[in-house]
Amino acid sequence: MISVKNLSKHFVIRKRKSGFWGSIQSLIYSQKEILKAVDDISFEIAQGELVGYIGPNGAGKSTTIKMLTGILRPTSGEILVNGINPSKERKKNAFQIGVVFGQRSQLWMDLPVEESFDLLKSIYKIDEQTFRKKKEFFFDLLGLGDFYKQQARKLSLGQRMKADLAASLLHSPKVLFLDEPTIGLDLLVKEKVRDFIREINEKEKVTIILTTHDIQDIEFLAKRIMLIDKGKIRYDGAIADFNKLVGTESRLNVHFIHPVKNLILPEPYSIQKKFSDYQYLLNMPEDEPIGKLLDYFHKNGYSLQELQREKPELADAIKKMYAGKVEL
Amino acid sequence: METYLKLISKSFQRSIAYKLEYYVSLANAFLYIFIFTSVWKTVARENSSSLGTWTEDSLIQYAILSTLIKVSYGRNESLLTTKIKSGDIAYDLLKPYHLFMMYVSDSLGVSIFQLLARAFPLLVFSFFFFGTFPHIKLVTFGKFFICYVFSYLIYLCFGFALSCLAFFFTEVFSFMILYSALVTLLSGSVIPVNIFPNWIQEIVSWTPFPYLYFYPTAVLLNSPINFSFEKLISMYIFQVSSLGVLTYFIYFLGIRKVEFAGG
Repeated sequence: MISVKNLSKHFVIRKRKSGFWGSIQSLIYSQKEILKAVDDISFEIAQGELVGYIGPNGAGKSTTIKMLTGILRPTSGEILVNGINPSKERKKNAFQIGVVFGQRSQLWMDLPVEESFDLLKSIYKIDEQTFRKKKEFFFDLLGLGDFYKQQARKLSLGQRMKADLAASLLHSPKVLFLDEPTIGLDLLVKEKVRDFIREINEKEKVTIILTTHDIQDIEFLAKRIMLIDKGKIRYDGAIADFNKLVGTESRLNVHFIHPVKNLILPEPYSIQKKFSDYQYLLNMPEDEPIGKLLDYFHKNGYSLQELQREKPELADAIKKMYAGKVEL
Repeated sequence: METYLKLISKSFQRSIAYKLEYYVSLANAFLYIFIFTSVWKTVARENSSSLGTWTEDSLIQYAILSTLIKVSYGRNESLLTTKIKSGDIAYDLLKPYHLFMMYVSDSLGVSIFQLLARAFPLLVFSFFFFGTFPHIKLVTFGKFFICYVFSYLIYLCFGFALSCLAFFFTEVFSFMILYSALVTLLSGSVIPVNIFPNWIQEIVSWTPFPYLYFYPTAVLLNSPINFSFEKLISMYIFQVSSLGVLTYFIYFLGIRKVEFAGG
């Protein structure tokens, strides 16, 4: 469905000198620098797959998405989306893809939502019957009917996102690119949007590439993640394997019956945080048996009141990676 | 074609969305007509010898008609520049239509609104307020209409070319100011070009500017221009073609340079 080979995108950026004289000098001359936004990446995505495409700010996620949609030309490399080269056949590609940029909108802000949909119907040559069916589908799943006749400018962020999602799917695209679709949304709307994305992926077999900083989006929706950093893909595989690879530790929330002023732990345990003399948060490797620690507490006279083990979270693993603590 | 007609319709609807903005801009346009006619009245009374064939009445008629033509076009330079600057142009580039045709349709929607909702009411109002109107023959109106269409094409090219500069420079405000100054001085929107000395007229006639407002207004008023109507049309064809090629060139290079702001 999507095939990317040795894709690179380099931008020329001008470096301004700092300070007052620096800015004056920059008016005449500024140093050029090549920024490798995407640097020789390759991957394949099968039809109906939902892939989480993640990475820190400026990692190259959005640049990749823009090249996949055909609005940015790659510096080098090859992209095929359902057999189409997006930058060479932009119009043809447009019929088979849908795109949502969470921080932008394709709605006509000064007009009611229905006017934008009416325009999209003509742009994508959607027949009346299909259009009506699609509209009903969105009314049911997203509650679009509640604000269909409202001016887009007056919609809440959640309503705007729902309308944008529906607009991007009106022409039944085979591939959907979602660039931070839940940014700024409240919990309830986030949940609704996630459910909707899952529904169209599972039932309509729409291939989805999801870019987000919200790890819950990824955990809820994607089985596979691709992690990009400084333009290079650092990980491409299942979420479960990613956790193992990064080796994120489990956390133990420990409550003692009697106060423990200085808790001394054997290897490989360590203290993450001391809340009080009674409560500690400990780190331990995920595959370490807990019995060993319980024996230690027993032998050293630490009386336990309560112990909770928290599983390693994807967010922690990603945080470790972003911080450069782990090289994959 | 249906897409572009729909785009024209949506652009028209968008123009009509804000009532107060409509009434204020109508008042602005009338104020401009009032200022120009007052200035020309004074100039004609104080300095009639340097105005050539222009009389007080014909100058007032010129001021009204050139302003009405300008009002009927609306403003289109910012339709794309704001989108390019913010990165929202991405959505337009993702649609299966041509960016130039989208822009033309958007401009047409605005202009149809301007013509019907601003220029016509102002024309009627000016007729009663100033009471001086030329008798226009059908043939003259036909000639004017041809010039008007060509002039509109020049206006579209200028707007699109200016917008596409945003692909290169992001901030194009200074270009807009420069364009606006050149239009004010050379297009005949304020000063009839044939008031200038002959050598300036000769130079200006090779630029696209006087073809925007001066020639259509002069043709409508039967004012003398330096060449025949046939020559005027061939000059229009030359101007539209050369400006069209230049515009396409800017667009073609710009679209390759596009770098979208933000994520």
